[in-house]
Amino acid sequence: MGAADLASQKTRKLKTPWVFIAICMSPWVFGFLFFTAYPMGASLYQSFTKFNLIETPKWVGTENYVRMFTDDPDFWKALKNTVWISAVSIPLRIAFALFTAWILTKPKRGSNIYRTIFFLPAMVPTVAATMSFTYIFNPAIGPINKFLEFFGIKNPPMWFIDPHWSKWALILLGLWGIGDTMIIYLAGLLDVPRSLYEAAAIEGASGWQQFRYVTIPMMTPVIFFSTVTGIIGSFQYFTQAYVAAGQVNDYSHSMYFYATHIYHEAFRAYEMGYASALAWVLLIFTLICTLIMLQTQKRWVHYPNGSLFK
Amino acid sequence: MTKKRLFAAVTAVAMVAGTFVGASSAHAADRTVTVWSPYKGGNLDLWNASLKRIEKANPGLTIKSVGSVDMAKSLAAINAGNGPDISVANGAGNLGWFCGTGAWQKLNTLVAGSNGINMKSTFAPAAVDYTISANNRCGLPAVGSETFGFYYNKDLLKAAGYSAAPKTTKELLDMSIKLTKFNSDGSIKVAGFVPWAGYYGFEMDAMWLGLMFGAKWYGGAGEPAFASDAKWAKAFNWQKDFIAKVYGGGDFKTGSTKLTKFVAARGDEWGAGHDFVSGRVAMKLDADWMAPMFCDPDGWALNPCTKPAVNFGTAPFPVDASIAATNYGSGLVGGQVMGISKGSKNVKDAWIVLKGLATDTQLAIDYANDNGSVPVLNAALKSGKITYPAIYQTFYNIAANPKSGYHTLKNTGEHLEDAEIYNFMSAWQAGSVSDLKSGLKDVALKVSSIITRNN
Amino acid sequence: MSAYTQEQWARIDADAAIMRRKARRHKFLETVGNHSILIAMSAIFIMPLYLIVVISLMTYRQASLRALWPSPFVWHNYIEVFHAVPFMHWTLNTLFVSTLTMIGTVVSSVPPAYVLSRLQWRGRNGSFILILATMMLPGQVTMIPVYVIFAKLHWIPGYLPLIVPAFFSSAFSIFLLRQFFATIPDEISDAARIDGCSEFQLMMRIVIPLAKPAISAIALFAFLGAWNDFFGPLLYLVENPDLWTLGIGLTQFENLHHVDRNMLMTASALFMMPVIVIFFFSQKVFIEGVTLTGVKG
Repeated sequence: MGAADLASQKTRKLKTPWVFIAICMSPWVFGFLFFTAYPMGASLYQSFTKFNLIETPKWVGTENYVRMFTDDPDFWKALKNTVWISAVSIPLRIAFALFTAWILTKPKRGSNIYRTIFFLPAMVPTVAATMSFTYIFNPAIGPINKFLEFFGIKNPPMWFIDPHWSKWALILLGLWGIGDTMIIYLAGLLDVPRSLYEAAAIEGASGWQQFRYVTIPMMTPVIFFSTVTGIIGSFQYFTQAYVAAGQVNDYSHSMYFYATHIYHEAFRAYEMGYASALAWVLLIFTLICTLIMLQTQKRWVHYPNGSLFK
Repeated sequence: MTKKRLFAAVTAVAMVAGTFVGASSAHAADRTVTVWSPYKGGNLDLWNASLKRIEKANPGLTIKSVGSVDMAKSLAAINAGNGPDISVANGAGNLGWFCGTGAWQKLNTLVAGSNGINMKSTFAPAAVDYTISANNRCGLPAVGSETFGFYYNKDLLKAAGYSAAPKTTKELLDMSIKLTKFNSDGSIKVAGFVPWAGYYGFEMDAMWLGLMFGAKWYGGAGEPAFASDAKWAKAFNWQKDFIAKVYGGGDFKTGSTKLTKFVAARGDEWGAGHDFVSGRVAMKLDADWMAPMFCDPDGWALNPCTKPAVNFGTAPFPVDASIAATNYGSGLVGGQVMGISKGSKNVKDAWIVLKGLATDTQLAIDYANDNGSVPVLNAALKSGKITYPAIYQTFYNIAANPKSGYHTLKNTGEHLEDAEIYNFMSAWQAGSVSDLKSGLKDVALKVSSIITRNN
Repeated sequence: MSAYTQEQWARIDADAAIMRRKARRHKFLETVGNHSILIAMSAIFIMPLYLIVVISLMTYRQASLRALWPSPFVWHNYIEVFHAVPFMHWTLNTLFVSTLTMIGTVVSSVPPAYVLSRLQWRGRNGSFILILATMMLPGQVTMIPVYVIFAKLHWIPGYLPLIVPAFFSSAFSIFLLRQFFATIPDEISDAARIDGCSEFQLMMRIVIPLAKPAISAIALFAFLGAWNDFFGPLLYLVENPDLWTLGIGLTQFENLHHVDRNMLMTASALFMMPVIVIFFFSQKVFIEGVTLTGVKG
């Protein structure tokens, strides 16, 4: 403590090397200006125009926003699909990540091997994973349904081809790649002080009770973090859905998500103004959800050090 | 001293100005036309030969040709302001959009002018059709075209006791029942005919179905006719009935599920794995340029076709009995289109080149012979110089038939309206549309709003 | 001690022995139970990879019959892929883009992270919060105007839209590096400054070498992120097939002439292999890197 005080006193006495800081920060500053600030302003402006990339943008006021909510059935379809997949997959992923991480803490030996195996699918490139899944889940030539039939399931679902099952197939694809989320949970689990478990054991808590009253509360920061990033990520869900939908005839838009709609409007229908409006609505929606999460965190997240920022 | 300096300054300025003047006048005399096309290999050679002929006939005109450029690339360049004078699109589906957004310039005045073209007498009726959108003629037919016809496996038909292709949709259904074979587990082994959106095609499938029943896409006032024209309902009900009777033993759901799995296991589109080549499907609607592949899946050689990979015959589309008298013999005809880009600096010369390319009889004949496709240039069709097998006679006839065509092109892009009816057909065949009437009304409304939005 | 009789002691010992045996058996069953679950789950995680590999080595005939073991093993498929589609070309393209992206990310993210963590200056915390905020921004909001900029610069289709932004810092990389830099004790910097080191030398000669694990992690993430990237190439490369990366190529696989459908698995396997190989050789870096992002806020 004392040495640090002395040290910070010393740095306070030194002149701030502004030139050095400016040079170091410049890549980020320019990147922010060119690729974040300016585009955000431009897209906000464009959201009030009709712009097809060939002609100059034509101001149309709030027409895009009105159209979005009144004359675009694809918007509602995309929104519904996005909300559905967020609501279903985020809790599933949290539970699955927690479970796989937890079971990895159990064995005394060999946990590294298991950890590698569980993590491996998260490394597979998304396009390869999606294409492979659409193949192996193909109801006619894919082996998965052969397994299911072997285990007695008479008419296994047609997965990606069936609009009622396609999103579940996408969720399975996502769960297969749980590895990167799982690792974070594993680190969190290993961080829980052993003393807490011992104290609980002395009080007579069973394994399940220890999990419920020690593990879960201590894991709430990790769960909170992964929920927020999960929400942000699932609102932008695109690649898997786009690739999978391209492999089958997704006539009822069961795999059509908000980001798909933005892509379609911008780069297929060349309605760049409308797509910008869609993007801004997405931003606002994401912001609202994140703020809600940040507000409610006081109620259920226990920070060991008292707050999010040290 | 000051005077000298002044004199020097003025001279310098004059010299500099002079070079600019000189440059711009040199620019005005620059008669270069850039042409971007998707052709490559042998087709590009033929295309370039035609351009050379145009150059020769128009001294002072220079043409720069770039091949292997698809329309998406050309469009991106046109958007960015540095596009070619002339660009070629592989299909007519987006013509309405090119016209509507102005990516291609309006040619009406040029076509009607002194150096114009009599479209009706120069081109097959379908080609006149697919180069105009709502009175805005922004394109001319480029040399490549595609005529769709009905292919049938002669051996499989013979084994079932048939010697000729079906002429009506009823015959098609009856023959398909006999031709279809099942595996021991109930799955389809050989399909007679597959009326299914997304089998090997894409948005064309609803077009075929409509054509078989003579259903119109747009009514008199230009409004979508999916709900108002009863022939669409007839077509879809026929499709449902077909699937039930041929594949489901009378039950639609069974048939639909079996056909879904059959389609999911289809063979590779390009090559000997294609279902029609391997004998997995007995009859199929497809384009003229697939004939070389059906004959020789590896080399795509058609001339001559002595040992075809599948013993196939060709015929016009089977049609609904009620329109057989007038419509049998017609088919779907589409083609490549080309136009003059927005922002072209030399429209006058670009028109000379465009007209030259569209009316070059030799190019049309050579291209047709090389690719196994049917020319839409009447002079080529009548020349007697097209040299391929009798199976192609079918396609000529279809192309020349006045009832053949594409569907009216609106100002929307990327097959937007095609996608709506295609999605509907897909939902219908999967059994997820409970009320046909309201479903079709919905499609009509959706297409209406797409058109309105793009106006 | 004297409170218990000989008999009572014997009973206590016997009870203890029984409890130890019970505990051991309980432990044994628990271990068996845990390992069974772990093995079952490993099987589930590996199964798709297993299927990809075996299907990639079959004839299409066998694959369409849903066989689960190739007989014969068609090793030739792996060569056939290179003939059927321009796979080598796609791979080299992907390698090119990924390498440059990695370099750009490292070069442009280390300095900001350094000054954000090891120096005090006005506006430092504000900048960091801004960086965090941009990490949460949906890409769609900036995507279209950025596309328009690149279109006007005539960079589409081309690699520049993918590579140039990498040289303008990645918020994620800055975040990760900053967290790591912050763990390096201040004393080291102070000592160096007293010795007369300039800030630049301090950063390059002392702090960066200490941060090798974190820098390796972000280099790795940047490389793999670019290798796996689909959306960027979809936007900026799709119009020119000569520029395609493996991601796009794979989705166009069946549209290209003459490929058996199960060769898609062969192509997928080849696409995955470099990633998996890199992963095995750098597991530690990976897992530490991922951990750095998630836990300590």
